[in-house]
Amino acid sequence: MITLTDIRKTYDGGQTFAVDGISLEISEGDLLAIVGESGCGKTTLMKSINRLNPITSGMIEVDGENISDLDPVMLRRRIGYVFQRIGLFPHMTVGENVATVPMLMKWDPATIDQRVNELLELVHLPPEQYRERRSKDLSGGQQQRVGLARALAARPSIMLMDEPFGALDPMTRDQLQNDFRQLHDQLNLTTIMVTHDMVEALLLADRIAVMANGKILQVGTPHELMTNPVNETVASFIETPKRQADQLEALSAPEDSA
Amino acid sequence: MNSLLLELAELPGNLSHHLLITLLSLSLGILISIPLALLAIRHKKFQYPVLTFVSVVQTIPSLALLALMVPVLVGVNFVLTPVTGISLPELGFIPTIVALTLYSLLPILRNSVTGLMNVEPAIIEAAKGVGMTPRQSLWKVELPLALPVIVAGIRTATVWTVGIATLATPVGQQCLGNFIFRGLQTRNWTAVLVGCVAAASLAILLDSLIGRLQTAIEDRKTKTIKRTGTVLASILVFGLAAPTLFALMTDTPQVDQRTSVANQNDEQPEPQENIVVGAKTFTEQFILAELMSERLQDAGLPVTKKKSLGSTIIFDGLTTGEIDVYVDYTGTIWANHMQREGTKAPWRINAEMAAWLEQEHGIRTLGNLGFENAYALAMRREDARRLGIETIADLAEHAPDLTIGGDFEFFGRPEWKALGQTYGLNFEEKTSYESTFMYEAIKRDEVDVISAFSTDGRIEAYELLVLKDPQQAIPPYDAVILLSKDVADHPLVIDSLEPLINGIDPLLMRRANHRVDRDDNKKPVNETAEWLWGEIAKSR
Repeated sequence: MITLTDIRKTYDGGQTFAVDGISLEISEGDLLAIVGESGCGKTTLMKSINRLNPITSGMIEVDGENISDLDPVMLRRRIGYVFQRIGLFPHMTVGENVATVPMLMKWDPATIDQRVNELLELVHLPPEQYRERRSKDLSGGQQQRVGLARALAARPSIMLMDEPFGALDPMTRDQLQNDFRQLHDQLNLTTIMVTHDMVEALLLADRIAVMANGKILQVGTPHELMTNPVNETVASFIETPKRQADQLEALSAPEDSA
Repeated sequence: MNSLLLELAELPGNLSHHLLITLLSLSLGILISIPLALLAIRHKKFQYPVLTFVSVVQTIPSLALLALMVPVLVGVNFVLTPVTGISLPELGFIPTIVALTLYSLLPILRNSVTGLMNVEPAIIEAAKGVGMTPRQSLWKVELPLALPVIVAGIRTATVWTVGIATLATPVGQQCLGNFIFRGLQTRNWTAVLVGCVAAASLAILLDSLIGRLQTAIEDRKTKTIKRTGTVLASILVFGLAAPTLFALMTDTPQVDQRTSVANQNDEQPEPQENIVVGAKTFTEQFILAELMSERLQDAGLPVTKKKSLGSTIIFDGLTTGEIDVYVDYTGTIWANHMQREGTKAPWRINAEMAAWLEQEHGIRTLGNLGFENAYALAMRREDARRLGIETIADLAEHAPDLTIGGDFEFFGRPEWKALGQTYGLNFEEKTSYESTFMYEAIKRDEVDVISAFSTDGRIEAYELLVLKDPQQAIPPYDAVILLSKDVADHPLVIDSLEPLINGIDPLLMRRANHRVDRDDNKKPVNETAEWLWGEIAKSR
């Protein structure tokens, strides 16, 4: 359970706000997607949850604790984070990358060893084949699987994902999206995922928050958004995927014999 | 072939010292640069001053930086000694290490800063995001990623330092430069070549090893990293111990046992200290230093030789006791150190100089060797005859159409000023040369007049005429043996050097110089010193 109360973030001493008075609640087991165009403040908002980006005012609670009372380093180890541009450590092997957080938390080596294998299995990278590989020798999709395994290593209950599938080709993206949704349910995660891809959000998330200019325009289930957008802007986000879906539908319809 | 073997015999000694100074300076350079780089990365306000400082150091010519360390250490001692009782050696090892370390800072520091700054911000954010503290991020992510660039900096610094260390000879540090400086002064190209080849080989060896380490780090080849690292570490350990090992192996009393920290309170008899014999940068000095060393060693005294020292450095060394004995020339002391203008009768200069040295520095003037090695102006005999020049006064009339070459010191010396004032000399052009090349230049008609030493064997060999100085603008340059206050009353030292007093006439000295300097049938310095001693003994 994550509660955001009236979050504001300014970089210029209060003249403009990148995040402008946002309140939001994400219940346990929820997968929330934050959608919006570049610069709308969605990444800033998400990074404030593990204090990568400190907020100017407002309050964030994670499982009932005010995060400003917590040690930021400890907080981050508790929360899984998947980075936009993957962010694997290029000088480490796949196994070393996955083991990062358990190592920081000083688990015993045998437990870490076992956990790494388990995680690689979980993200469908057979450990005997991938563990010793260098991350730069993997494809984009494989790298993001490693990123996912690394984020899950210390059994976090919360995952933050910053456009995790953005850089992947469509086939790989689809596969990883499905795999992740499965993991999310299987591990009972609470996930916040930032994306600019409305289709991804609609197909993957339990709820979607649409953002523009640092404010949330609407929060709702995919169905609510599709059927009942609150204003023009939200409607315009929905319109493109809808039209594409219609066009695809038309293509697969039997040919008109007339 | 024979001369090559002679030079190679000196290789282990020179090389071992070269290894020590190079590797020690590099290690210190690494130990200083990397923390400085971290400081500069974490606190941006340090970045500019730190990088500017090391860049400025780099712009100082290396020979000058080495030489500058001598007066700097004199200054440090001026403050340090009264407070702590410790005085750092102002010649040799310490100034060399300080200068080389300073020199190695720039490439290592610059590469470390660049390497650390170029780590992708996304990766640093990822390190933070997974819950690393700034320190963990530095050690586990940023430094490992910057390491290949840092090692590349160390590689550059290594090659530079190996090369620049050859310039430590003039401040009194033994190194491969000993071959080069001695070779240049005595026209012994074998020696120059041995020094250059040895320094270049060492540079290439270290460069390729560190290069291999760098590639292995980039490719994360753990085995190669370990293997190459071990080889480099062994070279380091061996290099740092090399001079000591070499001294043990040869078992000669060559090790410099002097420690400048005063330990006079010991009850035990004072350990026999080495007598340090100094030599300036030219052949005659090498021969005389060798001759005096042999006399002292014959008397059972342990000797250390410091050759190729600049005029000022060697004199300062004598005043502080870093040097115990060397030969200087009355005119040099008179004009350069006593800062006297004009000249007087030779015997007056001799007496006043001896009194001044004794009073100011406790230095003892043991006596004249019997010859004068004056700064003089010389020109090709043929030209002199054609132009009707016999004296410097005659020369002054033709000077505007003539060019002059001087050794490195000449145009900065008071004698040159005195000549100008007395005769109104005004040449078309003046050029400074290393003295060997200065003689080449007059031989090849590239200059018309040179600043010669009156005992130089090449005056005869190149058919030069030494011009007369009717107004006595240049003071006399009688060669005198000077003793530091430490050995001023040392009976063995005095007894063993006394036979040299008035034992060498100008012709004998010129012949000795010529044996070493000539191109065919060259004799090594030590052989010439023995020959000279034979001649001295014969005439007694």
